This record gives sequence, structure tokens and C-alpha cells, in this order.
Amino acid sequence: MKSPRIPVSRSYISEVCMRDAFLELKGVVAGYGETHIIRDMSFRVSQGECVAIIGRNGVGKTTTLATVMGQTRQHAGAVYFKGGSLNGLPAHERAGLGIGIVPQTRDIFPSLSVEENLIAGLRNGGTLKDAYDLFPRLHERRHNGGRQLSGGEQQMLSIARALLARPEIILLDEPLEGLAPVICEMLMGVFKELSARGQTIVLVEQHIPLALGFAERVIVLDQGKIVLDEPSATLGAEMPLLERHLGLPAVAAS
Amino acid sequence: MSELATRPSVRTAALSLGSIWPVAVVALGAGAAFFLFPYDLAFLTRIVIMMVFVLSFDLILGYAGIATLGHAAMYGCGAYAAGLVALHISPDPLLGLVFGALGGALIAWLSGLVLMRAHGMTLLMISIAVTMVLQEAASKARWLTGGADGLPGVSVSPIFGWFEFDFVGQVAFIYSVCVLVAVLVFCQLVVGSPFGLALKGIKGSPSRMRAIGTPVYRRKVTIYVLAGAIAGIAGALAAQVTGLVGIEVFNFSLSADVMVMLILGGAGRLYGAIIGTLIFMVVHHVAAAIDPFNWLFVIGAMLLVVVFALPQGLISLPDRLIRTFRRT
Repeated sequence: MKSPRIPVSRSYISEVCMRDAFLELKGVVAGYGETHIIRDMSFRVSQGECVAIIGRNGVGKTTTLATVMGQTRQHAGAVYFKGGSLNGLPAHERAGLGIGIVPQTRDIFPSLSVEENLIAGLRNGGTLKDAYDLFPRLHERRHNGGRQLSGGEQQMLSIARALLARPEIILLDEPLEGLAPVICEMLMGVFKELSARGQTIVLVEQHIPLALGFAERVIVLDQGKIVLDEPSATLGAEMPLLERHLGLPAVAAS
Repeated sequence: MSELATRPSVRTAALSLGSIWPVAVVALGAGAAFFLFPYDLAFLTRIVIMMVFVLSFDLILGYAGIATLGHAAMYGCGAYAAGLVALHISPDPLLGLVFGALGGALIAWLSGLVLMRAHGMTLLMISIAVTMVLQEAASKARWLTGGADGLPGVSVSPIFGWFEFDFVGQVAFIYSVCVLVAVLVFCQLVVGSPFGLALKGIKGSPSRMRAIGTPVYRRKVTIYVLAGAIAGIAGALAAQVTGLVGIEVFNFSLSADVMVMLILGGAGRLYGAIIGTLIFMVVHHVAAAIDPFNWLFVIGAMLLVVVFALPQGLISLPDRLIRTFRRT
């Protein structure tokens, strides 16, 4: 079943949005329990596109990703993936359809070794070699327990495990938070390589220049709503606008 | 379960030398016990059967993190199934084991469909309730189960038509040990497979497993059925070896004992189940012989010490000692 096209909001009309929507949120209201954390959210992501979601703390970035994954309570609206509605589907079925998530908490299994963590994520013909090719470091550490890994290694493992299921879209929730600059650079390199291979990526990121530099398009959230949805090139030239929505420190710090 | 079939490399890895020697130790230990205690074979057989039962509980509590207090349900159904088969269909012991496994698996599947949706206290309560209902049903259905008197005179034919169950219990012991070793190898394959790793993941974080695409509920039902089949085998063994099946196979204390044995030995490790059962049964036997009224005190004190000092169970004792000595 095909979702009807909706008129594209705001000033962003480029050839990107003329492509078919791969992932689409329409009027989504969601939260945990009775709360509404994201309100009336609509946006679309095309196949092969890289979209960054930015915003201050607590504006609903993580909740947006969790809603796509089916881990929140959705009160209204609909999430479409590849033209079909995801409403009511449990998380594991969404994962089976081709949505992968790397959560902020990384969520590796400390009681399993690196290799066992990866095997637990195997699906759709992915192989351990794929993971080790992407992150040779994991191969060196394959027999180490999950709790013996550094933060960077945990993040590599979490990303590698999500990729092993061969997701068609991958949701990355602040993957660079709290990591050493060297590791950040390496991970960004990996993300760029994935993107070049045609992987659809939705990246939640606090670091504005990084987000602008990596993504084709940036969505800015404030209080559970989209306040800006523009190509990063346009947004990069409009720093005052960003400052208004993100607060001065966020931009000044970058 | 498709992962099991499609990944032979993991299967061979699980069978590699590293994991084969503990099976050998169990077999050798059983062999030594056979010659060292020729007059206690009936008791040793009970230990071996209990080991099979506790192993099955380890699969669900230790690996998948499903805490129930109704594991006797599957044991009892296996015992009744094997007893009824021996009485009405065929006295062949291996056929009895197969039906015991089927009986255990069937009740695990039926109750698991409901139980595996529950967690924590609810799960504990419903699992107890299932066992109580079964006990009551077994007690009421006199025409089938003999009610409170149990099944009269279950007897089985020689194994493979050759090895007859003897008066001393040598054949029964060897038979039980063979079943234990087979179950142990099977459990090792299961926990080493991607399915087994998924179970450990579910124990760690069900929501995370869902996010990487694992149907958590289905996996839990699967392992519950597998564990149920093994518990059924244990029940069937007990029925064949003792020749008795009564409603006490559904006793609550049996479910509780199984949990105590597993915690004592170390949940989440197959050899924890073996060691816990061995120590519990031996201490029980010795303490009850010395003081028939206060033996529970000894078991309770032992459990207290283990839970406080060795939360990972007795199987972690060597690791613990090595670490303590290194530090000093």
C-alpha cells in the first residue's frame, strides 16, 4: 500500500524530496505512557539519503528514533516505511523489515563476548567478516567480554551489530557522544563510507558542524516539533536562525 | 530455530575439545561412583535424574532469565506420560522417554503461551498455579491416573530388549547416566548456538533484542518447550526407575528444590546445575541420616552462605579462590 504524497512543507523544495519517501512520519504524536514528547511530527527520508536531527537536550530527538523503532507509545499519526504503515508493529518486526538502530546507551550485552554479541545480531545473510572488515579492532577483541571494552569499542560493536542485520535504514542516536576525537573521526569515516554505498542514515547529533558536514539535510527539533527542515548547505549559511532555535551555547561551543 | 540448522560452524565449535572434556568428567565421575558406591546405586540414580531435571531448569532460568516456580509441571507430565505408555501401550523404556519428552513439551507449550507473556511475580504465581491445577487434575482423574494412589506397578521391558532392569539398580544407573550425558551434550549445543546467545541477550535486555530483530516471545516459548521436554525426560526416567508415579510428582517442593539446587551450583552454567544437584542431594542425604528432623537447617545455611559469598554459585568458587590468592 502506497502512502499518498503530502505537500512538502516550508521552503525546502529540491530534487531530493521529489524522490519517493522511504521513511515517512505523518502527524506523529508519541511519548512514554501518557506523556506527549513529540507532537505532530511529519517528515520524510528518501532512500539513500543522510538526514541529521539536531536540537537541544530533551526536545525529542531520541524519542523520534524510538518511535520509528516502535519503542514508544504512539498516540496519533502514522509511520510509513517503504510505503507500508508500521503502526502497531512490535520492534522486532520493524527490525525484520529493515530498520536498524544504534541506541545512545549502546546496549551491548556485557555477559557475552564481542563475537557472541555479533552472532546475536546476525540476520539476512550478514556475516561476521562484514563486521570485522568494517572494524578490524573488533576482530582483535573478538574473544573479550562486553564489559572489558572501551567506550569506543562498545560503540563500534553496537554499530557493527546493527549493520549485521543488513538494515535498509539505520538510526544512529548520538553515536559520537563521549568518545575520543580519534575515534569520532574514524566513526565518521565509516558513516561516510556507508552513505557512499547508498545506506540510508538518520543521525541524531548534538555537534552542529559535524551534522551539517555529514548530512544532506538537517531537521531541527524544538519542544517535540520540527522547527527547521532544510538542506545543510542552506542551513550552514543561516547561523542566526540556528542560534535562535538551538540556543547560543550550542552553536558557540562548536 | 532456523539458525541452528544453517550454522554448522558454531555447532562444531561447541563440540570442540574445550567443551567435550567436562562431559567426559561427568561420565568418568559417574563411572567412579558406580564402582565406589555399589550399594548406593538407587540413590545415585536419583541424583542423576535430578541432574537432568535441574539442567532443564538451567536452560530457562540460567540462560533465558525466566524465573518460574512450577517446573515440576513438566516433570510430572513426563512421568505420567511414561507411566501410562508403559501400562497401556508398550513397556519399551526408550519409547517411554520419547513420550515423557512429548508430555513435558506439550504442557510447556500450552502453559508457555500464557506464561511467557508474564514477568516477575506474576510469572512465579501463574507457574505455581499451573502445577497446582495439574496436581488437582491428576488427583481427580482416578480412571486415568489412579488418583492419590498413583499409577499401579509401572514396569518396563529390558532396554533394547537386552539390558534388564536389575534388583541392585546397575542397569538403571547406567541408563540414567547415558541419558544425562546425551542431555548435557544437547544442552551444550543449544547454549552455544546463535539461539542460545539470543537467549542470553534476552536475559540481559529483552528490549534490545527486539531492536535487533529477535522475536523475544517466540524465543522464550521455544526454550520453555525445549526445557519442558527435558524435564519430561527426567520425569519419565524417574517413573521407569522407581516404578512409581504419584501425584507428588507435581509437589511444589520439587519446583522449589530445583531452583535451590541451581542457585547453589550456579545458574547460567550447565555444570553449575550438575554440581548444585550433586551437593544438594548428598548434603540432604547425609544430613537427613544424621538428624531426620533438622536437615533442612543445613541446606538453608548452605544456601545462605553461597548466595552471600558466591552469588554466581559454587561453580565460581575456583575462580574466586584464584582471584583472592592473586590479590594477597
